[in-house]
Amino acid sequence: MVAVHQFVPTLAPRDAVSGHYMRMRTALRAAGYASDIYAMDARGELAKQAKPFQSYRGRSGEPTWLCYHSSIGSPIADFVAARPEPLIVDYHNITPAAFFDRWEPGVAVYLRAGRRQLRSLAPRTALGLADSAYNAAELDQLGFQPTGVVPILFDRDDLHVTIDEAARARLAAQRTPGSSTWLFVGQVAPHKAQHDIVKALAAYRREFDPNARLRIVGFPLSRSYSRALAAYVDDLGLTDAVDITGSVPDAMVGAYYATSDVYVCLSEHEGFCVPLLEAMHHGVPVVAFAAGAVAETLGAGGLLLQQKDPLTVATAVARVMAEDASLRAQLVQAGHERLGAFDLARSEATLRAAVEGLVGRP
Amino acid sequence: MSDAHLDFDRLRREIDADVRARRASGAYPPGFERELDAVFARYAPAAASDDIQSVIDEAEEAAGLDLAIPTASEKRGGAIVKRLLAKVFGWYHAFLVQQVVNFAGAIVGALRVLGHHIEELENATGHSTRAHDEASRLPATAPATEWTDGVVEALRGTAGRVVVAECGTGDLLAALAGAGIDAYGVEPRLAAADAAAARGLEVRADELESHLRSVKTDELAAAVLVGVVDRTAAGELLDLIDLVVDRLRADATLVVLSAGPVGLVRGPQAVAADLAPGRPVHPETWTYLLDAHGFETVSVREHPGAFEPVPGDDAQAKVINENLARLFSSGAYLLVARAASARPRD
Repeated sequence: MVAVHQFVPTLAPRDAVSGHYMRMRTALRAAGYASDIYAMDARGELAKQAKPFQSYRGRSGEPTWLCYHSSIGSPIADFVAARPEPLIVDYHNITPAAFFDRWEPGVAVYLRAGRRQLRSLAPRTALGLADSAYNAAELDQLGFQPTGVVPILFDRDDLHVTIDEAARARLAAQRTPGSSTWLFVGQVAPHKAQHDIVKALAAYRREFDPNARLRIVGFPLSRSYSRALAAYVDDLGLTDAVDITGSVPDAMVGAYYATSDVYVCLSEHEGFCVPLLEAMHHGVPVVAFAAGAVAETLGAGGLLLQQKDPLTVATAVARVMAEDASLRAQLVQAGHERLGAFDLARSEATLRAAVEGLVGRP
Repeated sequence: MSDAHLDFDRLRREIDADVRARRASGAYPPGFERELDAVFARYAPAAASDDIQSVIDEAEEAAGLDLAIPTASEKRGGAIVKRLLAKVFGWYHAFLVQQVVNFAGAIVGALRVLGHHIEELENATGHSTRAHDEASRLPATAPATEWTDGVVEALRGTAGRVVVAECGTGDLLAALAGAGIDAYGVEPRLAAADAAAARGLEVRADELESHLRSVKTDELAAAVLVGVVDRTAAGELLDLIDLVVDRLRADATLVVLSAGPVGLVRGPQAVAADLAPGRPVHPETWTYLLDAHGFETVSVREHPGAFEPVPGDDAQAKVINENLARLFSSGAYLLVARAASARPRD
């Protein structure tokens, strides 16, 4: 049996890329390949879904391919580079280290290492996969040939988790009638620029709606940035208007989506941006700044801004929140239609075609 | 498909028009967004600022690794195991930590020496933050009124956005707006920006470079550069030209209003000149630099200066008047350049 094994730095719950690894394994196995996940760190309920990468020994006599998922510097890159098996690299983007230099110099070191490792893998990689054309272009620049785009394996069914009704009721009760509630979901980190959303909210409250609120939901990836964000919110007198939740369970994330009026993304850098799809799925209109792969992922599914000065963002949200609600309804509909481009079956077929084209049928 | 109903380009244009109207109304203070930036800067790490000493202090703090081995655990018996390991390996941990801290301390010490030398260099070259802060407190100096007509004529009929930097209290901006030109201003001095906004002019309280970084490539139909180009050091000026040119459209016009290398030290901006790291360049230098970006200098007008010419058109009067012009010219000039159709783009 032909084997395609995945090597990943981290496998963790509530992580979009980890979901991709899991679905990729399912898709590969369904296609008839042997496929396991080897990780450096497997956490929480996914701890038993991966084997320690050091335990991989390879199998003699059966064709085996390794698929390395690149998103940060990791000893796994060196491990797969030293293995004799042919290699596929699936690139999920490495955030430019400059975003972290100021805030988390230690993280910046690993990000730079990740780019160095990625470059060094190019000559011995048989196929470079990327979850967006934006990421594929980076692979091309690094010398990977050939490259292809396989969208992140996103399963809407995973979002049909039971919404935490108590949380939904509590969050709904926090809303001020007639005022808007903004939402951002994602790691709290400098390149996500949550402070720019706070600025835009300040402008929005000043110009349009003094009772508007913002919820920032996600794991504090950068502690120093998270602390600065919280202090910033306090200093602006927005403590009661901005809720920085930290990481929350999926059922609660659903409750946040279900009780928010608009999803605002002002990230400086995104390699794909799964929360845009989640917002579309939950019927929350999206207003997003065109950075990295955001324009590609959003498509015509939301309002894309070329500038993100606070007044422009505030004015855009004000349009979405206009009383006649027609734009809002159109954006919600556009979001639902856009989701079709990321249909799981279609993305799995793209993956299978890419793997079969290289590895051959199982 | 709902895409057929949603015209995003039109929607963005409408949003942009709303934003501009709101800014021009004066109800949205030009300094509001800069104040938001300033408040956030208070909480950014020292490494995000220009303060070298603070950055080094922060590095030194990070270099002080913890000698204590953490032993707390949420798992049953975990703390006991960790305490046991700490007891066994404590000496080795301390040995390693001491070596790492010594190494980090040596690096921080070297950085302190380097930082000291850099600060001395900055003070010597006029790039110091202190000199910049002093200069920023000076009132904005409006360009000579006699240039206004020349700028308006150079830009008359321009379709698209025109940035005027620095716009001061808005005299030139008002003249451009009065001529139907879609101009907005950038002014780093808040008092001047507020004064311009109070006149109903659209103005951003920001540094030119910072503002341009928020503008898309090819978005501007023209740029008028005043003041800032006279105080910028040569290397920074080259970077600024790259940035401005990138934001200008293929058929753009670039106007430079400069006090000139002689005029600045004589003119009303003498104090700003003394505190600045750079000096104005000659119009020939602009022509040379812009040519490399595919811009052709259309005209250069030098300020005639304040002197009474000798009457007559004979050769002697001509020579005398030329010498008077050299002696009494303010040195200021107005340069207009237009992009060639096939200018090089990166």
